[in-house]
Amino acid sequence: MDLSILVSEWGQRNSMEEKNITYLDSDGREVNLNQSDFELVQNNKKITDVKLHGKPTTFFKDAMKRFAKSKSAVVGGIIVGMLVLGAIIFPTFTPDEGVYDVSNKGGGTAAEAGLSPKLFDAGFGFWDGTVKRERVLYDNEAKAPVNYKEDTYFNVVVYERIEENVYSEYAKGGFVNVFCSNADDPSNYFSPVINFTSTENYQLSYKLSNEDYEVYQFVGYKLGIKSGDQMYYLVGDSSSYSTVLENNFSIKEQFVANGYSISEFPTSGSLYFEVSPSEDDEKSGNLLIEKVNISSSKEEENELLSRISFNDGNEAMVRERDEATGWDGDFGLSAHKVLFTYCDFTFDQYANAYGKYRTTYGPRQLSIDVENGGVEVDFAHHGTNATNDLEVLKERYKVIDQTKTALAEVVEQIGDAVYNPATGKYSGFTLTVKLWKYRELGYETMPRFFLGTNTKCQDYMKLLFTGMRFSFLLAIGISAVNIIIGLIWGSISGYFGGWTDIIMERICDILAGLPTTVIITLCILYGREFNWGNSADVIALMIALFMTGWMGVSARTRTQFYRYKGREYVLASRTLGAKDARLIFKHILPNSAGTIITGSILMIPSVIYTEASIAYLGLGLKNQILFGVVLANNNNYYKGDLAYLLFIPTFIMMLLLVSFNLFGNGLRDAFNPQLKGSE
Amino acid sequence: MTKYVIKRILLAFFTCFIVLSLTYILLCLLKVEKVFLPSQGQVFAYYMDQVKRGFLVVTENIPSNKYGNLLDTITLGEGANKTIYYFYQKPVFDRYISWLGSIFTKWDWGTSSGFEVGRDTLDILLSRLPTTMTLNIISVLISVPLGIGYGVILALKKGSVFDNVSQVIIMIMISIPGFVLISYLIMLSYNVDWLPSYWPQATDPTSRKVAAYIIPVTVLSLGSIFGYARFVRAELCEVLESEYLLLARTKGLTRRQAILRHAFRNSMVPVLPSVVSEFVGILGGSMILENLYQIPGVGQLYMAAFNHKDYSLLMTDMAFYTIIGLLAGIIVDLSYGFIDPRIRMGAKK
Repeated sequence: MDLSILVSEWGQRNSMEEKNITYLDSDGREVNLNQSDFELVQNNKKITDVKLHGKPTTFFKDAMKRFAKSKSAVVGGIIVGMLVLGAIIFPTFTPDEGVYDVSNKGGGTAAEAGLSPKLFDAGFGFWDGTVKRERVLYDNEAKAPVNYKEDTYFNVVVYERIEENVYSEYAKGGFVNVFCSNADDPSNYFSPVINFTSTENYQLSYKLSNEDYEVYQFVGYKLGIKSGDQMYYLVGDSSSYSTVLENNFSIKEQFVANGYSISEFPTSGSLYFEVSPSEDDEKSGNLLIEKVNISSSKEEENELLSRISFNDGNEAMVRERDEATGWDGDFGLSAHKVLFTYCDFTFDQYANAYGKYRTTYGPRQLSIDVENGGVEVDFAHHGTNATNDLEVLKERYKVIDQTKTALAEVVEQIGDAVYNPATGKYSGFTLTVKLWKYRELGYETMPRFFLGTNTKCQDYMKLLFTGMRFSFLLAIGISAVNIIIGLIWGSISGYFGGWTDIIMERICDILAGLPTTVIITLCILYGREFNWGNSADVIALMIALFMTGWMGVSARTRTQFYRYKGREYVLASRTLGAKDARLIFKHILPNSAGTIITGSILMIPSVIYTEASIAYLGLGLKNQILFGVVLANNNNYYKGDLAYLLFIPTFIMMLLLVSFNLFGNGLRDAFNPQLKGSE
Repeated sequence: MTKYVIKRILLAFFTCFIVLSLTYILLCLLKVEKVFLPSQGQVFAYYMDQVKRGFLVVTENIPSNKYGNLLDTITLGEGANKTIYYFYQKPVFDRYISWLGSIFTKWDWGTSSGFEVGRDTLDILLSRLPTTMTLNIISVLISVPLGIGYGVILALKKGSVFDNVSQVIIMIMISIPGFVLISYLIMLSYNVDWLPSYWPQATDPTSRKVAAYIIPVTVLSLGSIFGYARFVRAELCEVLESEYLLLARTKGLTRRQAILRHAFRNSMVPVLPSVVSEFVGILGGSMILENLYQIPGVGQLYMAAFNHKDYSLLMTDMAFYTIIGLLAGIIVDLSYGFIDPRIRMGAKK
């Protein structure tokens, strides 16, 4: 648009003398100013009050608005709210029995101790009530970890390791290490006494190893038959040791070959290895026996002899204590290079505690289930005979309502069911069944403890929240008392000033001079001295906190009073004849109460913190169900399956303190914006 | 100023005197336990020492109620030489006077009655002080520069994403209770080999002893690093918005000059006293940390004395904590005046 034309048009309309100013501003733009730019906008206009369009806001609403703007404070508030809600709901709406009995005497069955937290189904990966088990002995025959119930483990990884000095009935291979730590006397290893029949022939074979390892050194050995005190050498002789590692001979032929007469052959005796001591002072002489096999030409004797023989060192070591078949030594024996099978797997603790287990079941128990309507028995259509056919049994004994019976499935029926016309019932059989443990323990469904159970078999979530409820109540009670005392003390001290203030401040100084720990210690000592009963420590804690807790509130109130007591409205009220009490409680205190109380909200977490500290230090509160105490009671589970017992409460504690701080600070900032960022 | 300093110190002495007297009398009123020593002779020697110090009364006569509470009876000798000594506790006030007397005249705080029977309590306390102090000095030396530096950075970058995230982190770190942090770190130490999960023995190798400092120092310094950061940030932010800083800029100082010469110095006024008080606090140490990490320091001694019902040792430890607390308070108040002469704590309006 051409500016000069506009200006000239306007000039024509205006009769007044034109005064156009044109200049270039600092950025080089042309600026035109003329008379009209300097006219008053509202000249000659009547200005009246305009009605406000927005709704007027109150102090509280305004504060809430400011509070809502601070996101962290809102998050903190929500978490605090959830914890408080949890503390109200969980302890109140669960039955107080079994696992849910969190009192000091309570708890479930022993199998329910230390169950991991479970939220998801087993196998989910985490929070599923399973724990990892490593290096558990694996039973190769049963294809299962040793000492674990079926269906309680999965993700099994099997591997083998060669171990030293240990043996097990689930291991195999290896050698018996017969060692001789005494430098002078030979060591020995001998079989149980064998009865030899003079007419029969006996074959003996054995395999040894001359491997030197650790402190052991193979020098030599003798082998013979020891009958009473008489030793008949078969390998080596009374003066020399043999080093032959593998042998297979007929005992009687060897007997004769070693210079004995056949008539001397004993009727009974044990096979006897004698191990030479080491020639080296630092080492022990030893003999590694892999296998010994003795057999008779008479079939009947072979059964016992084959049990005396052994194929590997592990087998011999396992049988060592067996009188009839075990080989033994008078000196040192150990296992060498035994092959162990181990497995790593995920162990489902809930299946272990609540899963199926095998037991026997009679018709009487079955009839109870039938009456309850949990099981349907149909002998008419599916036969009555004894069977272990699972398909048939499944049809014959049908579980129709799991909530009314503990029976999971029937595995075997022993004995035919016979109909008794007199009672109208079937009897004469027993069942091998699998029962659901959780049904027997009285649960409707398979239990699932979100935070697991503790070592006293109590639901940890209920325990923690019950503790939290008590903690909250205690904290609120203590805070309330402290706030009231603090308000009164601070009001008097601040309002009257002068000597009253000085004396009251000195009392505060002295009390503040005592460290909190010292006061609590003294109170606890007195609580015990005077026998204040079961909750002596709680009372002591309360007294200790009553003694010092109000000082913060009182100091804050005092400053507020110094601020407000000189205000005009106080003076106005005083001139109207108001007494001190009225001025304090009606005029000044309400003005500062909001700030003081929101500032005091942080007292609640600090009480919980104090109670946890006391329990952590071991000063007291041992058996109280307080949140901090529950936390402190589980403070030594640093590792292993039970580490959650420490992790969960500490995490909640952290959450509680952080969110309380965020919430409290947000609230304080909202009510008192000028304090923002301080403290 | 001098008058104020003297007044403050005298007042602190007065408070300290009253607090300690109260504590002592309250502890005295509790039932005292007999001491346990391997032989009767040692017990006798201990009691006789207590008689000499004026806490007990001994008599060989048949007990009467004249003396108050019977503490213990000791039978020495056999047959005709047998003597029975009856030991009574002196009245509380007498004990208090003896206690005060020995402190003022001999700086003697009494002897341990349960933890290490017969040993001088002050001696026990002092023997444990170096461990606690070393830990605290290291953590102060780490936390003060880190905390102040962090706070300065945050204040200079006020409003940035880094600042906002840091604010939340600071809030969380300050709120985490010490024992939670200790527990987590000990949990961690069980999973790594090089980190000891408890305070090492004297016989352990040096590398392990050095590594043992990691957890306590982390616990002690982490909270104060974030505490200082918040404190310094708040103060520096306030100063940065003040008029005199604007003036400094208008008169031609660069931002760096203005911040270093004016803003930083002034923001340190409230921060430095708390640094100073932290140096006093290095004597005290953390009771929970020392107990959980089994550090043989002053804090652990407190619990040991409590568990042994060793009231004289407990009293000495309590006095120690009280004195440190009061000392820190005075130093903070006085250092305000030294750092910024405009501030007169407790001065009249």
